[in-house]
Amino acid sequence: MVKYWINQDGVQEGPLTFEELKAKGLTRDAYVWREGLAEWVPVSSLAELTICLLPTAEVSQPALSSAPEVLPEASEASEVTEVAEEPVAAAVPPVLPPDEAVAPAAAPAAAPVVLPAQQPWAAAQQQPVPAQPEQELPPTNLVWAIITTVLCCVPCGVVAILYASKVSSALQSGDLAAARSASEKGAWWCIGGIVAGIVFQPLLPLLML
Amino acid sequence: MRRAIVWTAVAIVATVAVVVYYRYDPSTTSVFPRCLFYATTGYQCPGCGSQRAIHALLHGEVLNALRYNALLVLSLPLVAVLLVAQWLRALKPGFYRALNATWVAVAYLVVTIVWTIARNVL
Repeated sequence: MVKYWINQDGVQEGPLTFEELKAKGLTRDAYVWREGLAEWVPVSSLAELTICLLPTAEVSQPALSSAPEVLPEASEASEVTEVAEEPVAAAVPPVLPPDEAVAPAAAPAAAPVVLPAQQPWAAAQQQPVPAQPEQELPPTNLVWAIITTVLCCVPCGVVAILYASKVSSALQSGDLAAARSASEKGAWWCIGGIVAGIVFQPLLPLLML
Repeated sequence: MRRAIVWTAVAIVATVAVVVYYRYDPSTTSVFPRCLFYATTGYQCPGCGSQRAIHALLHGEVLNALRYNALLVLSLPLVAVLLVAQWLRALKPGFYRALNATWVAVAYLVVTIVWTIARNVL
């Protein structure tokens, strides 16, 4: 089960399950982190959380104006020295300074332990930034490749399985572009194989007459 | 959107296939597609016997199904788990990741190749 950490109205909570988030409701300017993300992101950028959003009745103030309120609170926490530059610039805040996210990585599993709830953004500095290969895995299409192999068209299926294996290994070596391209090619081999299986094979008996 | 189309198509094809393969026996009905590989080379490909195996499975004859195409029968649980992982990917990305690792694909490929050679040689 994926755990989420949220920060809204300057209060950090987590780990929370998806259901708990849904029950709780999120404001549009909340920030979220879960395993697989390199840094905190606005809740609006995670499509899976759209249904957790509260209706925007009085929250109509722009997201930017509430973000600065969050940053100064971080300085109230003990990490004043580290975050000192941030609150000064609070009038026009960058969403989350990227340098916070570049903090040294710890094991993602350690996340729940490392996050002291009262230091929202300072905590983000010790935030386990997932290692590079933790990027979103493009669809490997392995299921379709296997189905293509056993049911439709063996040659296409074998090629698709090879591409499926390449998606993960390319991502492991940090080559997201190669992983994406392998994912796409694998998908096309599956589609080609399934179409060949459904359309072409029934015609075979006719061709052999 | 694209997701919805794919899943709908899969559901429709699967339903039609189940009905057709339950009612008609591929080994006695001639309209079912034949394997091009078998027809041209005389060797069984990894997919040969899949249709008969599905027919047997739908009638509860697991042993017969294994005899027709063991790879298919043994792949079905894997396919089922992979489909669930794909379906629940947003909720359990780690599960999807673990199942779609490189070694899984490579292992499946090796098993397929070894088994195909074995079924033709033995």
